[in-house]
Amino acid sequence: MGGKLISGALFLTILGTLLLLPPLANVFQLQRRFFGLPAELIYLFACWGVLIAAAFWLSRRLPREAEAEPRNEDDT
Amino acid sequence: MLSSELVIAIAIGYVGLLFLIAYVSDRLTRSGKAAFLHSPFVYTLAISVYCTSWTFYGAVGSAARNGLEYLAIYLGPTIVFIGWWFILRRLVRISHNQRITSIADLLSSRFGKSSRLAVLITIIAVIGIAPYIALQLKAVTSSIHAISRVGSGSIGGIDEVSLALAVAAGMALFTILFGTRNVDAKEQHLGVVAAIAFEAIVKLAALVATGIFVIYVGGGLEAIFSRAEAAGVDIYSIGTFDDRWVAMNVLSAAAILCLPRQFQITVVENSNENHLRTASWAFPGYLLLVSLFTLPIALFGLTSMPAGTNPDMFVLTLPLAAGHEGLALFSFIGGFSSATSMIIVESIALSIMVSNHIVMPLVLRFTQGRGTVRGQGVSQLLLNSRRFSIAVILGLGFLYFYLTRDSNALAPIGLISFCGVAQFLPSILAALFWREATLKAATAAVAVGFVVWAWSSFMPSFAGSSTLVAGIMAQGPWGLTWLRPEALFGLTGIDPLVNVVFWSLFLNTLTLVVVSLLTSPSALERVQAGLFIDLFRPSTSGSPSVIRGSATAHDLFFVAERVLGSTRATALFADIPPDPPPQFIDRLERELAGSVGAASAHVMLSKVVSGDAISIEEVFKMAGETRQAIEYSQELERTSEELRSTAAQLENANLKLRELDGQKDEFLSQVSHEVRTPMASIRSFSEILLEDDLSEGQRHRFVSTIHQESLRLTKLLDEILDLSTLERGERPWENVSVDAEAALERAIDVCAPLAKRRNMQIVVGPRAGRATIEGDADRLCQVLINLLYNAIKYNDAPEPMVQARSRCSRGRYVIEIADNGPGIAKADRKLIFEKFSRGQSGVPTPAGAGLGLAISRQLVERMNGKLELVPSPDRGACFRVTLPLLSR
Amino acid sequence: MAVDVLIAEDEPSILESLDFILRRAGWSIAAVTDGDAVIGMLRKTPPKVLVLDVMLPKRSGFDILKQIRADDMLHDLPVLILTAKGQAKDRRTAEELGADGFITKPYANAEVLDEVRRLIGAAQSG
Repeated sequence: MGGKLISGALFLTILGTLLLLPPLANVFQLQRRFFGLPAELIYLFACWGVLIAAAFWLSRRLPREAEAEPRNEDDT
Repeated sequence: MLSSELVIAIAIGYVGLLFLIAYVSDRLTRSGKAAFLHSPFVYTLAISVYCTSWTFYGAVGSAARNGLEYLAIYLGPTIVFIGWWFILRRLVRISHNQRITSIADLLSSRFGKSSRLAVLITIIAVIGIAPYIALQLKAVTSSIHAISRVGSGSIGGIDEVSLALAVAAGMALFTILFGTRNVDAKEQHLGVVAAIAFEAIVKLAALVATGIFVIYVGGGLEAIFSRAEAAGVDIYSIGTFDDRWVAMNVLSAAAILCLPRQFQITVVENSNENHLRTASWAFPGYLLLVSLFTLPIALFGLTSMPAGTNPDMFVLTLPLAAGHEGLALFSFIGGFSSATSMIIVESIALSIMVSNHIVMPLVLRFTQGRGTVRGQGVSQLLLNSRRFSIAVILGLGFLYFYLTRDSNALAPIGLISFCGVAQFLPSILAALFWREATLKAATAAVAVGFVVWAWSSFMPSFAGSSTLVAGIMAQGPWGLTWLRPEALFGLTGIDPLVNVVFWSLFLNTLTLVVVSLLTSPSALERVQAGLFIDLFRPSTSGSPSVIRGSATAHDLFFVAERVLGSTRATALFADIPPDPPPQFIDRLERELAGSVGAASAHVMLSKVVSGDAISIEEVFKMAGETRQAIEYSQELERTSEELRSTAAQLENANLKLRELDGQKDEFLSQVSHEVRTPMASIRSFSEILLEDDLSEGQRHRFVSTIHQESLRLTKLLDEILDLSTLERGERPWENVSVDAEAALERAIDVCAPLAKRRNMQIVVGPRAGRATIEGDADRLCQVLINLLYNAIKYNDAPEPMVQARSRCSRGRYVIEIADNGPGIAKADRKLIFEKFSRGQSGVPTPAGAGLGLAISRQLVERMNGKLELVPSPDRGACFRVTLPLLSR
Repeated sequence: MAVDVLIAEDEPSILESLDFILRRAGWSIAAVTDGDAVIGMLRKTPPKVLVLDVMLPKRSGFDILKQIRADDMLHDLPVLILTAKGQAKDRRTAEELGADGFITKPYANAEVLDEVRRLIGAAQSG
């Protein structure tokens, strides 16, 4: 299942980039406030929070090396 | 109002606390009690050295001026960490594998261990970071002024510049004490990391505390935003998400990879790849928390503070204005934390680069590598050069601060540095993903990016202090308006930051691609590219040995001891044979690279190993550059020590050749003797026969002698050929399963007529019955015939006899051929298997047997067996053939 | 009983050929095939010339020559060295040890006859 998760990680990275840059970021330039806060502020922090949560989820599932990483101590 | 003495005393006390933390952590680590220091959260907190006074003070100022724009500085790194699997993980893995110590080392290593590229990267990094250091100095001095009000104490009268100089000097001293106590092979500084992690908690806590205080004082978030909107502040950040937003995101994403301190903490100090897993979400989380209160603080400051108040200092001035001196002090400590952590890690990282890539190569070049640094030791030299570098780096920071002291905002200064180090990004990405990228391309690309940056971003910051620069800014150099720094190539009407980010990175990348396509990589570059790009491919486990040669363990140890210190070197050389294998040299190179960088380590070891002429050639081939070849050879000429060792090696080789020659001579002389003897009779008798006055009987006798001698000659020549092909292993040979008893039977049959003629009997003793061995039936038979033949032919006993017996025991098949002839003299028992052994002592070894036993032994050895002369129970000789039985 | 030529040679066929050609030239011949036997034979039947092979069993020809040159009785004996090791250094060794002639195998019969004749003549005149 590692392959799909890695694709997921790549997708998340690209999606995050797209969400935070124009033109998508401009969609929420509403000049309106929700809960007293500007819409774009809520949008950016919400995206940010979702990205962090998704990264947390992925970080526990992305494949691990079976053994310890090669540390060069005795790889002759 | 707090007195400046108190503030400075608290700052110094705080620094002392940091030192204590670092010291205790080092001690705990050394005694193995600091498992928590290896936790991924300590690692993550240390990464947040990214958040400096720029974040602590500057972000609020930025938010006050440009709204949400400040977030771009944290969103770029967020994306990079969320995509940790693709870039960061590679960087960490490569750096572990290759013992990378810095970003300069990384690029140098990838592009053929080029020391020139390392020097270029180092110089750019040092220049590029100077504004960033200046930013910290400025923030610290401004904060001291803001919190203590100039003139409130005896040292309050000190002007900003002197204070900044004092701060710089103090920081330099502190960093030297802190970061250069020892040279670690991996350049990991656990004590420093622990202190940085602690500072990360302090600055976050201070910022959050101030944020909560502001929201409380401001009557809640909604109230703050409403009041700001009512006051005419643009709370919606209109037009924020434009090209400048994109440029800043790109820069911050580049910075989290390219800043020397980030590379140091994220990559070099990483002790476990899986820590990245935690950092991938925890670090963005930290960034989110840090930026959560920035905008409210900024807006509250804008609406509650008198106009003209420096918004960069809101986190201090707001609590002070409300009379909360304690909170203000806490906030000051937080800001101080963010500045000190940046300065410490940045100058450690830069000093490693400067000393490994500039000082060490210079020392190597001018001191014959291992000659004059003898007394001091390289590790001491390294420490000193690092201390010196730290002083220089902070000095440059102060200089930049001094020259640009009139500008007031913090964030734009930081962006200059970001843009400078971002010039490494195209080459780093190429290093990781593009096999065809070449050294020349990377060097040219970084240089082009640097020039554009220096022109369009670095130089304009001096416009306030230099009328020349101001003139260039306005009209361009020599009136060339299209070269105006902030409107490069006539691209007007866009933000200066976008202008420089676009042009520098565009031309940088363009150069990288075009030059890569036009040039071809050297062999060493190709090897290194493979190591970087095929990182996770299982086939490339371990790097191929690049340096090959005949350095003795002693020579290598000499170098290792100088660089790594004697304890580490001794441990490393514990089980190494005097003639170390190439893999060890390779491993040593990586160990050394951990201390002095890949390029220097490579040059060092090449020098040691270059005693071997072939290896020098090989190194040249790998390096692929004539210029380098010339350098190396000049080095050789200069270095008397190397000349001496080369001469010794040559002499050694000569001796070996002479020895071989002697052996060959001896062999030829023996062959000559063996050929000449039968030839002598043949020639002599032929001449006699030609004279034609012989009786029929004589004639017949002489002709048959000639005939026999010719046969003997032919046999001898056959044997010589046989032996030489056997010795060279040229003869096609396949061991198959062979019925050994049948071969023995056949040999006895062949020799029976000869025995009969000599009136002797071949006694067939106890037999094994059945035995299958792995070998060649004809060859085995040949050996046995040879043994039987010798035993028959040279037996002078009154009742001559030869016995052939065989048996199987313990997985072995044994044949013995024993005779009751004269036997072999004790002194000659070892010699008889040598070629022409009879030449050695003049013993009556039978003619023609000179090569037979030598060949037989070779043949038996080819069948994985043994031919030996064993003590015979009675008189005579006994030869034993032992062959491993083929197990079924 | 004195002989003209003593041959010290271990190769039977070479010995036979030498014996044949020298005998046919009219000289009386004695032979040994063993290095140890040479000196004893020289004392028993002193020849006019010794034809000495270098590679003799048990004792090398050079060794025997050395002893002859150091011997009060034998030191004047003409010695013709015969060797299959046709190297220059053997010739030099032979000369240094005081050999009167040096022939490498394979030899021309006439060459042997000439040398033996020369040495017998020298022995008679000196």
